Amino acid sequence: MSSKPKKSDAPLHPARWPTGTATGAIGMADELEPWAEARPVPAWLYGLLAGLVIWAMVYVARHGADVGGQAGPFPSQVYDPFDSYAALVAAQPPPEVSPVIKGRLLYERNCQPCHLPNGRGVPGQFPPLAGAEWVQEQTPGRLIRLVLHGLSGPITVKGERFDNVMFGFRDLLNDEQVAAVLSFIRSQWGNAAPAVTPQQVQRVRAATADRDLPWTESELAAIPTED
Amino acid sequence: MNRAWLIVVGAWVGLASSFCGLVLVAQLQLGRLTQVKLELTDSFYPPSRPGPARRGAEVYRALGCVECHTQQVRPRGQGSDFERGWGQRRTVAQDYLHDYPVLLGTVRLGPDLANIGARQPDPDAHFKQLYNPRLLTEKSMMPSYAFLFETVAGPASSPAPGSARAGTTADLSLFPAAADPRVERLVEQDLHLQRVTRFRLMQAGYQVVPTVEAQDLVAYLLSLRSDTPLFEAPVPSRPATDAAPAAAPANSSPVRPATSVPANRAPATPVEPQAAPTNPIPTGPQSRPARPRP
Amino acid sequence: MAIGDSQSGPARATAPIPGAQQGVSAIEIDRSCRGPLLLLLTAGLGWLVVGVALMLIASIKLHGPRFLPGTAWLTYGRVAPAGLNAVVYGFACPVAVGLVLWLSSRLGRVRLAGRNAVLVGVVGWNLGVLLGVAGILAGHSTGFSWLEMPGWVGPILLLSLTLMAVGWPATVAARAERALYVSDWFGVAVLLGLLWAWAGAQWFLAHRPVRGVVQSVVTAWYRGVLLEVCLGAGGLAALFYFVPKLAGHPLHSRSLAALSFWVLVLVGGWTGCVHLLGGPVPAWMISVGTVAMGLLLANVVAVGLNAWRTVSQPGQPIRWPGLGLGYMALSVGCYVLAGIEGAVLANRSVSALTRFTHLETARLWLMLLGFFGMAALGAVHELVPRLAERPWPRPGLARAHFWGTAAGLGLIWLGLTTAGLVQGIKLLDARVPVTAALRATVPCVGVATLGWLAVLLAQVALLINLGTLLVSLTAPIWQAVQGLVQPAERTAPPSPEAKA
Repeated sequence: MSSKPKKSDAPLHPARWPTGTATGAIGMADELEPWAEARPVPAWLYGLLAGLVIWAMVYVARHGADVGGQAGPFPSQVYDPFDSYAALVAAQPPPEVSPVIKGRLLYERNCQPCHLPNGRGVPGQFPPLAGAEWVQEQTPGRLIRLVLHGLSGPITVKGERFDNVMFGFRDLLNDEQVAAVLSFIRSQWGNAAPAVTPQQVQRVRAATADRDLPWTESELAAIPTED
Repeated sequence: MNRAWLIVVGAWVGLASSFCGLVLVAQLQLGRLTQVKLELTDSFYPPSRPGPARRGAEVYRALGCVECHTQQVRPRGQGSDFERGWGQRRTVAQDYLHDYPVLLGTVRLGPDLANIGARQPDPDAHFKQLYNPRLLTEKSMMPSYAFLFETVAGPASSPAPGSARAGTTADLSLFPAAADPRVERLVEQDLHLQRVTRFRLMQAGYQVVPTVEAQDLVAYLLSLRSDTPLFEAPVPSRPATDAAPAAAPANSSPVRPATSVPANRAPATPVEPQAAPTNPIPTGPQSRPARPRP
Repeated sequence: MAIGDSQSGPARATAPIPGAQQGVSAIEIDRSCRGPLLLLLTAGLGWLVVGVALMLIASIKLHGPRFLPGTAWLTYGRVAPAGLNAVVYGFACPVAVGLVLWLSSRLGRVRLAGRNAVLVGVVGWNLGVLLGVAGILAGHSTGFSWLEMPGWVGPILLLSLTLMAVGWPATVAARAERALYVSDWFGVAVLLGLLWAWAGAQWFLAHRPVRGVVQSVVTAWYRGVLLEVCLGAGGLAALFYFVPKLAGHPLHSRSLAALSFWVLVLVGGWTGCVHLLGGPVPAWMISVGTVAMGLLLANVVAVGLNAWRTVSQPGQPIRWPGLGLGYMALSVGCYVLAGIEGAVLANRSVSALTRFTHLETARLWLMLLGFFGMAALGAVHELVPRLAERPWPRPGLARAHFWGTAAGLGLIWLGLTTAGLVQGIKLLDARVPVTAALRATVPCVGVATLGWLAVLLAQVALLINLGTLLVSLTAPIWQAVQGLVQPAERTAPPSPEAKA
């Protein structure tokens, strides 16, 4: 049902135009350009638009706009499925740390690229840590030294010979971190050696304070098995 | 509506509103994020990508891997990403800080790769997947990228004669001469497809060696992981376990047991890295001592 | 049937209207546009063929991963973006710009201004697209969705676009017909949107790259502006011009078209965030994208209503004078369908099933080729005879083009939609391996491949038709050359046999 047009901006009347050589094949008088009647927009379409605008505002307010929330409107830390900053805060897990978990994370970040997950190592390149005699020594002095300053040159692990370079973590890990990662290695993959304490690491660090070069196998073997 | 300048101004206002409201606000909210310090491990997240992995990101981009694979884990309730073990938590803006370009992906014609480095830490599996995905998954729909590999004469036990790779073929070769017959057949089909005229090497023994591009790409894939809990993406807390996860097959991986780790509260006080502009704790293959390269 | 006869009363028809003495005839206007526009349209159709061929190769690779192996140039990850970029930047954008230029000249009753700049701009644009698509196939893709062409192509395209558009303000300012028609408004949106979106994307992604996911936000914003605002406005400009003209009735309501325009420019740019559903952006951004797609429903309904009421007058049967109106009718239908589908897919709960599936690809091609493509091809169908001043030499090929494109698009949409639904349903169940989910889509993707083949053959038919027409345009040149050659033959020395 269409209402009558009220006013029109009809274009120029065809009779005013100079007649061009319109080709017969095109057919209709091409001189005439389209024009639009001035009918109003149906009321129901305005209603639809208004309804959509209201829905839009409600939807955004409910999902992520967090108007009146602690972090201000449109918080940048609130991701799906959280709808508000308060919901995000409520979903945080309680703080609870196990040293083995910390050690595992440190191992994954620092040791796993070479020694691979599960301490397998790479044959011919990086020694395994699982079941290695260097890892499972009762007193960890040699192991701590190895981690702090690294190792270069040939070394025999589990009967296999490796000749490579490992750099030290003296400047990268503190005593607590060294203790955590060594405790982790010494308790995983079949290893069963006592944990390492940060005090042990601190004592070794102080005793070797002036050492910069990586250890060699013979140097490490020459260190007495002390604490 | 007959005044041209009014229409121009109106269109300009419309474009400006979306530009300011989306692009500029996003830049204000997310464009100045920096690495955050994790309380638990004193390390920075996300770690920077070292040399081979950064070159691998370029290979990933140049081959158009983003056309089939996404690198985003969707939140719970929007898809089965968690149930498939594609991540322990959803990905957030912090995970893509060092990426250029950020390759989120638009279609999933293969599994999501946001955590593939954690899901599949074995480089050999990645090499096999690239050379011919049907070696790992019998009816895989992924095309083969055998052009990223080279065929070298000689069995794996002895290095290729005259080859500068003598020191490394032992660990890089994939298929020693006496291989599984099914593998041999598949590799033969692919060699034939590529018109490698030296496939008569099959009698004398051959090795398939990844090029530097393939190695870099695999280094990049191994560096893809975003499972560190963050304030805006907490890992749901479950009983802590100590077991290290076993290497999972590429296609369907079991969900790793989540550990209850306190989320990082860093957004309140982001810490600037002290010594170097990037992660002071080296991660990834760069921390390996240099291997003799071909 | 002349427009203006049926509805206007006798009093209006004879009243003199100011400005009636100025104005150029349609033939003169078309002649002023002929050179640059014919070049633009021919190149655009060529790129459409290239793009559809690349998409056909990509579609075959979806169900036959061992098709064309062995080289990095033809790997799916390069062929698919190359095809998309060829269609969007080789065909869609320049044809939209060309249409706007022609429409503003015709509606303003004034010759096209700056036609030499347009000519240089067209050549530069096509050169840029050639370098860009070749760059993607060579491995220099940027990786950004819809912006894969290498960064150094950006300034070439921006300069070419500026050259093409530089004459438009002069054309509009010098117009004899001072009233603006609906298509003029949408033309503003096309040109301004293209310039702003392209410059903004290049600046924030290539020149001064933003950090992290802000790149994805820029890409998503760009995609929303380009598809919904620029190409949407381009298609609507063509629709609002040709539907009344070809149907022989005036446009049903100017106010309804004004509502469409304002909703489109104010809301269309915000729709890009639907491409970040489930992605690493704050929740409010995704909500904004969802509501923008919902608000666009008002525009879609308005366009559909306007077109329907224009074509179907009460008490009169619908007349179909030729193929042109068929293109436009299909285009409107695709726009309405794509608008509804877009609003549904933008919903978070629906996206759990449909995100990252072929469904979104199906909606993309419905908008790009179904809505804009059909409107542009219909406009080409009407435009080329007017510019060349001769009809299509092979009406059979023209019909084959219409039906082939229509059938092909239907197959593509149906194939990809069913493939997407199957893929989504299977991927939602974590027990189904990804490979099994993808293998289940193979028959549906095969249907889409047939669709691409049909579209390709149809475009080739159109190109043959156009080529024949252009060759006949150059016939006077050949005749002149022959005229130069023949007098030389007559004055050639007699042969030795004749002498003997």
